[in-house]
Amino acid sequence: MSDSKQPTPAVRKAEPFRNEPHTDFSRKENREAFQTALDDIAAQLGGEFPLVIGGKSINTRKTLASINPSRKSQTVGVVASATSDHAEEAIAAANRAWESWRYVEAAIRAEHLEVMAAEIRNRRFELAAWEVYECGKPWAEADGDIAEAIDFCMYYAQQMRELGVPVQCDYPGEENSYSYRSRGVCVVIAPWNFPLAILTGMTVAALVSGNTVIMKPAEQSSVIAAKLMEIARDAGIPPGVLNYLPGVGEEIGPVLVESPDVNMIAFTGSRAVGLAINKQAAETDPRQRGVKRVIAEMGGKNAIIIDEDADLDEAVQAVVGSAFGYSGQKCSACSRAIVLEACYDAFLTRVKAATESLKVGPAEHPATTVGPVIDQEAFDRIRDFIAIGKDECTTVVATDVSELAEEGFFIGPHVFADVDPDSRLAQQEVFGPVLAVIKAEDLDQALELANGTEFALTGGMFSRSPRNLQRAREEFEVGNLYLNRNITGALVQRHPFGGYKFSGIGSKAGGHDYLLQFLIPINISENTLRRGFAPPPDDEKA
Amino acid sequence: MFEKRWLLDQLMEWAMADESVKVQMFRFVDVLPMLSTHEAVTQHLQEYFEEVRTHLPWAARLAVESPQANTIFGKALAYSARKSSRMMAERFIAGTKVEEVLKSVARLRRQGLAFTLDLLGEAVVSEPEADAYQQAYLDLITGLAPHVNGWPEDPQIDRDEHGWIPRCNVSLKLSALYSQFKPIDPEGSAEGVKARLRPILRAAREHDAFVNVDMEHYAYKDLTLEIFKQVFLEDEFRDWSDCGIVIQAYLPEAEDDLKDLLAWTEDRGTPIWVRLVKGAYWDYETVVSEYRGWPCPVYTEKWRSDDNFERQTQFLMQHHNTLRPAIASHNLRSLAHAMAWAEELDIPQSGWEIQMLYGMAEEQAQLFAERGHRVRVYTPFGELIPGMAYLVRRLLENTSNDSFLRHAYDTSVSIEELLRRPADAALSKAS
Repeated sequence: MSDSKQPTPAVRKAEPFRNEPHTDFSRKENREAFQTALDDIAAQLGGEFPLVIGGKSINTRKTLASINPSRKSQTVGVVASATSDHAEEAIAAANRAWESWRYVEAAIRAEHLEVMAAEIRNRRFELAAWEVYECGKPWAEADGDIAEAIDFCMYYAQQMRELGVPVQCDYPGEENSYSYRSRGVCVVIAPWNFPLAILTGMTVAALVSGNTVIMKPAEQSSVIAAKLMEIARDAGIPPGVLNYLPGVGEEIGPVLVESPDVNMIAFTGSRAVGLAINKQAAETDPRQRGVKRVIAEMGGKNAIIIDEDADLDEAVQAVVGSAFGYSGQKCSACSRAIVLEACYDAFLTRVKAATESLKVGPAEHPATTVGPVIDQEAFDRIRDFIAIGKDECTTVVATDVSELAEEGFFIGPHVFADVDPDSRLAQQEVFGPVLAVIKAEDLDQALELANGTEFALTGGMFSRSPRNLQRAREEFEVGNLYLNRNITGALVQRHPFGGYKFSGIGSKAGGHDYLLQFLIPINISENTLRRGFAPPPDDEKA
Repeated sequence: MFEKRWLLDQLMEWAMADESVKVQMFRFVDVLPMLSTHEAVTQHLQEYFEEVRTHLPWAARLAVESPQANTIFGKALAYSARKSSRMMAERFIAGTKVEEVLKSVARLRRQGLAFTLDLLGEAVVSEPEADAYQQAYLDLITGLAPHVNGWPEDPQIDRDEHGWIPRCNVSLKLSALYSQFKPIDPEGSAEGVKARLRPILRAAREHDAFVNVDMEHYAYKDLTLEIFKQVFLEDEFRDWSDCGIVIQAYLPEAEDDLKDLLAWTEDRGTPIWVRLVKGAYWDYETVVSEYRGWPCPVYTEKWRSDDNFERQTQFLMQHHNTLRPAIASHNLRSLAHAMAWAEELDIPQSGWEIQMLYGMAEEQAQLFAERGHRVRVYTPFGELIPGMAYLVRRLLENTSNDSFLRHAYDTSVSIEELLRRPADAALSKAS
């Protein structure tokens, strides 16, 4: 592929890409526009959203109510709930559509993504407002999610334009061409925590690679997913190429994963479901076309190490922000702070006060830093972890939000100290506003503790020692390591996102080799020598 | 620049000549106060300069690299580094405790210089820290004002054209008065800030002290102006003229903000002071806006800031009865320009003032004071760890290629060049 005689350069630069800027909410016009969008959407809440299979809208007998986590009494939308028959129909529709979509030129498919990006950009605050209501995302977090969705469209479009050009390796008398084909039907199973970005990322990656998609959004964010379906349709994605199949995961998930007519599953969610999908997909049915490909982004138990010489101003803010942003409901969230003995007391004092100062409230309010958690199930699960913390550890912060609890699924930020590194609180993913603080004697122990879980997703270290930072680079077992900064908020291309160990299978979302997972590489060699005569190789033709 | 030749002073000189050494140097100075043992100091010093060793002269390499942390040389190195960083800090920071500060401002007064005090604090990330910041200012005002009010009068700095002005003058940052200060939530932020600001203003009025609201990052500018306008329009403070705010000339928006302030002040009916500065967050603003993909809020060329500074100086001078000018700069051209406009408009020397930073351009400050100007020295004080961010900003300024002061000490730069009109300077650079 490349000229092997050239020395390997010390630095390889990423291709140029401009991320969609986040909204500057210090500007009055932006705050006003956002508030207007919130008011507009408030008037539209409660609508109905049918399935979309093969371009047809289908109402179902059973429905799911998507509710506002900040206000339990408010229904954001009534969403159709697919049965296994609908799942079969969707698979059939996607298979039919693949017969033509697979031959659409890569550049044209890329253009579809760019049109989607433009449409998302046009409807930016409207979509963010839907997220505020449906998922309890505070303003800036919702805005960031929309920007990321735009980035995924633009970045994967750019990537596919490059991958769509075959790599030639021609010799006199033989032309060799290396190119990519799509896999077929891809099932996308998405989470609710980045309701537009992650769903869009997995979906458009599959689409732009020439696959057709069955989009199964999380029950808690199916309305936003319906908006994405609308946008795709408006962008000219043909019927059947993208199908919208909301429903109960336990009911339709296995049908989708086990079907012999599905070729690939792209999943983001919990470790348990990810592993179950991986196992089911490994079963081979004699009718299926090949071995299924599974990519799964799973959980994390992410730690930030605070070294003795850390800038505590920065470290405290980064830990608090990473632990409690979106109520800790991010796979990248900081759930453990591992603090060197020398600065343990100073750090804990400031983290305690900073956490207690956070504003907990409904996501609609711009003052809110910590909104609600997603639903009753999450509420109960997180409360169980808090009970363990209170039982086994020193309670440092236990924010009481009982006056909000009537309204929505509110859990105040909690901080526990003296957490046993082997305890459930220090080992299992909480996915809520709970931070475990662990003391370490030295950096060796800190790194050992940080690596001592079954996950390897994100991690961070605050230190001003170049040597210690270097140790973290080499020894910290995570997919995304952040030095002297917060550990959430990965940006497409700048911070390709994904972990290993039990945090994920597959390469990084928003990274330069993500699309390859949706593609099958093919090499075509043609003998061009006939009767002793061969046309000149390609580069000489030009 | 420094009187004694300690190791860091020497490194500082090399830092002026080499950007990569400068970065390591400032990073080392920044972390130093957090290091509790001499081993840690030596180790950090070696780690930082390891990365730029080829940029250092051999003498520096020898000094920095050879000592083992636990030997006498290692200890000496650590001692030398600490000592010289403390001296650097002492140059720009007037002390850690109120008694030390009092000594420093008394010394300034003996030199005929007025002061404004600024408490260097840690980032305020919690409500108790915001309480502590408020309390520190209350203590400062109630502790210092009675004392300095007892000093014998010095008309040049104690009076303006309208009469007596407060001797005790403090500068504070609104974002430090509320831990959840967030531009996304202007109403909540304003409530939080005003609740802690009002008692400070009351104490200041009671003790004849002046309160200036400092300006910070661009993201906080509109909110800071908004809160300033809200609180000083309240009945309790509407008729009080011993207050001021800052306008940063490196922002193209400075002009509109000043016009808006003028209209607001006319409506208020009581004048305010406006400290015109170039702006201290230039590096931060350019880096952050590029990172975020936002338009850069500051002029990217130094001469444009200088030029805007002159235009806004003129505006202030033309409205000096409403917006009283405090011209804050070390650039002699900028100050000469202000003096010319004051003369042109027949504004008495007491009708405006010059402000400079503690530890910088001391000879100039002295000179202007001797010529009859009221020169106020912006005097930061506080603990060394939180003071580091301030110190690094000052060091950046002093080592910047665009710094007037740096050029002033450079014998190869002529007086004509130094005092050239900003736009002409730009032309000569382009040619």
